[in-house]
Amino acid sequence: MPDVKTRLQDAGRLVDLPDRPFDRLVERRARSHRRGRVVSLVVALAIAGGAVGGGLFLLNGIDDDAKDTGTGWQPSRRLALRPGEYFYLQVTSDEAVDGHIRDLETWWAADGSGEVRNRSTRQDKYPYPPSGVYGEDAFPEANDLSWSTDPEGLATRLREGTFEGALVLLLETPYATPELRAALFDVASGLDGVTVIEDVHDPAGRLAVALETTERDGEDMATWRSYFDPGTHQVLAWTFESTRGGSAWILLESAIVGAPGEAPEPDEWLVPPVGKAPA
Amino acid sequence: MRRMDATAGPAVDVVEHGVPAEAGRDFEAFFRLEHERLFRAMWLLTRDRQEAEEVAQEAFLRLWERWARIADAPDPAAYLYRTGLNVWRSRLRRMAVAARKAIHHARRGDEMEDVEARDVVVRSLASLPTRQRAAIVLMDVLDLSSERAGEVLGVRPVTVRVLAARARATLASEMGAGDA
Repeated sequence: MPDVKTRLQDAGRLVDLPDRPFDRLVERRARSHRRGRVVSLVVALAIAGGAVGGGLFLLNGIDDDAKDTGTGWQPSRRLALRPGEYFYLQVTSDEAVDGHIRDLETWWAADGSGEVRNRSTRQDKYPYPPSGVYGEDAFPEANDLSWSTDPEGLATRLREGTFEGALVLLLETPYATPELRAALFDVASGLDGVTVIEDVHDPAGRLAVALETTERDGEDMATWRSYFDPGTHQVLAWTFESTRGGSAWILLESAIVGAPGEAPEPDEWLVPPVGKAPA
Repeated sequence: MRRMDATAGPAVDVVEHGVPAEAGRDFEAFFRLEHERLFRAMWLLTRDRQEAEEVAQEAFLRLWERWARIADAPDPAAYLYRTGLNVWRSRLRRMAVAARKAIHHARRGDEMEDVEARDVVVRSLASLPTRQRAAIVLMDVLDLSSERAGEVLGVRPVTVRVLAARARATLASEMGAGDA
């Protein structure tokens, strides 16, 4: 009969190895660097009580048609959600290293109700948020993170810098409100190492203002670019490109609508909808 | 010392501490040499393929960020294993992970389930105290000496030997009962 050591070693060999683990590590490292920068800046902002403070203040139910997010900038349309309204977000992406293609539609209201239509691939690996219609306070947490939707709680998490993804995930999270997204754009555009590029087009051809950061990836360079709508400062897209090879994009479409599951009317869009996916 | 590459089978020359001379300053080469061993060890510890992958990735990431300093250290592999164990223990303590694991276990049909069903030793491994489990995986799966395992765990070599011996005794006993 084999001894304990042999049997343990034999058992350890029965598991399949992950696909392309080094590529995944490279991606993880790039995300980590991005997070580090974002957390630093957001913490600095929280301490200074600047734009995020302005954005968070707006979360407290002030719903004027257009609000200054703390930097003098005025959105071209109302960003605040009114009672009974839903923030609509559609996120699509190209194929990631592990074959994950995002295709997610969400409707979220301030009372925590909403709807999720998750058609993404690899739901075995990324099951959040699950599809369904959710009653008050039942909307699922995105990205498996217990983020507070309460402004004070969210501000605390920002200061702690313990949550994953900070700005990136926040912008993609169904219950990050339009005002907060606009406020975070204002923060990010003032960061060291961030280049603001006016009058560009996102991968879907939408007019945008872009924020770009480049970082060293070993011998290579990785460039992250986020595109925002010039009128509402809502995020339109993220792109990634590395001189090592490889690129990726994520597209976002957002609106304020009157009911969950409802497709946005032309005047409800916060950003131009995508006509066609990038080639 | 000569050891078989766990992936493809070809033998690679390694220096005393398990790092090939040509890979001393090359993180990618170090990754390719050590990833499989760490991943398989973490799988036995975590009993969850996805969790093992997460732990291994996080451990390598932490090393990469300090690679300029660690590459010249006498035993980068030991540093990697120590980091992997720290990540594992840290994640064990997090309630969020426990909740996530519960979800995975509820829906998974992964390899560990099959292995556990067949092999009483692996099944029993899960019931060992954390330190015993770590000690036996370091010594018997990663094949470290008690000196190196002691460095990884931050305890004296004799302590590792005692922990591993207790684990082996428990597993052998379970093996006898289970295979009888």
